[in-house]
Amino acid sequence: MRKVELTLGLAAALLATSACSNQGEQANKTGQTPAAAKLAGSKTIAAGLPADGKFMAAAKAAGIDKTLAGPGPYTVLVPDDAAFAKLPAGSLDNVSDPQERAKITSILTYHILPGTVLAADIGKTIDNAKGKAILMTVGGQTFTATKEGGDIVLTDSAGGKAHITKADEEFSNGVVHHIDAVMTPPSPGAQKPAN
Amino acid sequence: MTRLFLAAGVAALAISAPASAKPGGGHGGGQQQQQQQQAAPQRGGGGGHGGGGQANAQRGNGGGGQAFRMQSRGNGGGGQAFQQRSVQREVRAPRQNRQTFAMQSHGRDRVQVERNHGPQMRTVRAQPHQQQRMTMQANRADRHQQRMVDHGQPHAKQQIEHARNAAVFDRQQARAEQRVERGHGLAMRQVDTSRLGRFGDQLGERDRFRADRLNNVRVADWGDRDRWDHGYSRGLIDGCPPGLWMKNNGCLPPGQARKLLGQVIPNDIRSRSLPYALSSFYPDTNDYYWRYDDGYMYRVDRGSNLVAALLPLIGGGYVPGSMFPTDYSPYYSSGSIYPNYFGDPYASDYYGWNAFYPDTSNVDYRYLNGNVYGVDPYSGMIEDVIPTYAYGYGVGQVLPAGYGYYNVPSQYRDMYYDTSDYNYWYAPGAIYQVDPSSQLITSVASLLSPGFSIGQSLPMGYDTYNVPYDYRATYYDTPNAWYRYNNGNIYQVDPTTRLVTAIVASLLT
Repeated sequence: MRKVELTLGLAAALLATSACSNQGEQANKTGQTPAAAKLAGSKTIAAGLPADGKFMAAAKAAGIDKTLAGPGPYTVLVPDDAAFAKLPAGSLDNVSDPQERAKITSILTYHILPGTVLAADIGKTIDNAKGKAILMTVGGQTFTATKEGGDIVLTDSAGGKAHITKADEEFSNGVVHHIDAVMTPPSPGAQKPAN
Repeated sequence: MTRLFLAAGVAALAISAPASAKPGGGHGGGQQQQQQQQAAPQRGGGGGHGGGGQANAQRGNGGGGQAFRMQSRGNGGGGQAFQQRSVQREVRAPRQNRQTFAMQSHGRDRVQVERNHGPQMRTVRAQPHQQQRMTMQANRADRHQQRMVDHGQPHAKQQIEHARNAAVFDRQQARAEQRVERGHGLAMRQVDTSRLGRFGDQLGERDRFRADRLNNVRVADWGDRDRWDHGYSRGLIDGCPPGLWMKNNGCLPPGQARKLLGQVIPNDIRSRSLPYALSSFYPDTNDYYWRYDDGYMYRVDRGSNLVAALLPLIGGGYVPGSMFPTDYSPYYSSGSIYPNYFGDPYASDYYGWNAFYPDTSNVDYRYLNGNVYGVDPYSGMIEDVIPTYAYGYGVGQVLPAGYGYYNVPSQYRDMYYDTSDYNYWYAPGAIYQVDPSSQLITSVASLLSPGFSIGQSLPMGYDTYNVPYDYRATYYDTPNAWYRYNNGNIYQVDPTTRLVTAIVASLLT
């Protein structure tokens, strides 16, 4: 009987220890505070995207890999690796080069929207707005969305087009849409937001 | 005996819980441990742990300490951790506290760097800990009195005068010692570095970097510009021309730094590795390696040892569109005169930069092409350059001058509070995670978009429904109400007028 009580007491202590340490380990691993890690959930965008993909490599260079492990929520348009390969020669060749960081940051923030925007939400806005929706990014710049043959097409500031190839990949801190092209943000100062 | 075993179990529980706890987390487990730090501004660690207890850490900033946030985080084995933050004017505690922590952890000769309000208050010296603490108290008191004056609290004038006298006396001492020791400072650090080998070299560089950084941070609010300008008018600040001093790039003129391009890197710089917090962002490769000196990083060709690139750590004039950083140009940089077409009030106002960087009698802030520029309204000289996040300001760079205090928006403070590992700092567009020892930005904790306010029109680009999953069942668009997410809150919008009418939910509290 005494052994059972002793075992129960020690087990309770170990349980409490592991509960605290697990939360702490998760927070340390993602660079989040415990409160932020808890709100972000376990299946974050940062954890769900391929770590060896070009998008996450660029995100790491810009310092937003941890952002995508945080609470968000964000809507992230992720160009596939083939899309990065289509960029002009010399573009983003070396994401670890600090000289490239400003360009990378500008491009990435053009691919992130505040909140959770599902493909159906974009489609609904396109329908309500007579065929053209304008979407605001976290960088404060906009791009447009239209429909072509029922598919959603995103058009950047330079007129480049990207198609959503895989929509609504849900994560605990947002949603990811995969696209087939890297969108080009407007050059600094070229686009003035309007109310 | 049963009771004994149960007691042992409870004791083990109480001992184990705090061991895994982090500052600010709050894993309590007991009764009474109360820590109140109200009179002096302390960085609220806020971590209630312990075998015994209910920990109550209160962060105050002096001068009144009006409590505006209380938060409770209880995670532990039965106890409750309680953290109360008392913040006035959202001014964070003095850097000297953090600096002391870092220096103590190094456990060697303490290099003290005082960063006071006055431009002449630079002291780099080794001194006993006790004296250092007294100096910090005087400095803290000085800041305290400055804030109180700013807030119009005449009843504290007597204390203010006392604190001012103490601070002035200490500074006079510091200046006297500085004159004697300035010539030895660098040599002392180099001796320390060589003694400690590779590890010591890193620590030495970190100390040196921190010293440079802290010496160039204007910790104070703009209210102390009168003293700041006093030194400015004498010509040199810390031995630097004012333009260089304000640039926060050390004291090396850009022209002199540029002269090193294409040259063999000098031996003294070659021995200076990057600060630890920078090294992961600027890794050495088979082709080149990085070195740091006086506010600049140098990329050096490994084969020829020629300086191939120059990287100013902040501000120093790089602008999107220029050949950053190897073609670094002083045009638009600190010390240059901005052209007549400078400024974009429309964009500045839209993104909230006007509110975050308010004009004062001594500096105008202007936005252009992704950068916020601090401009002397009298001379037209650019004093400060703060790139915004979307245009490249971020990891690997130091906090801009004058903004090194805790300023995270209130709705995010429960998540992004300063710890021993990380500090957090907000600027329009992002909440940055900052290494407390080097003041370098290590990552972006959260991306923020231009905020909504009640009564404003729904900005362009927010016609699309974007409410997070968990709230969609409650807040869905109807003919009478739209709902939109922005920066932690869900807003209600009138579809007819397109005016933002209310905040209906917060995801963060």
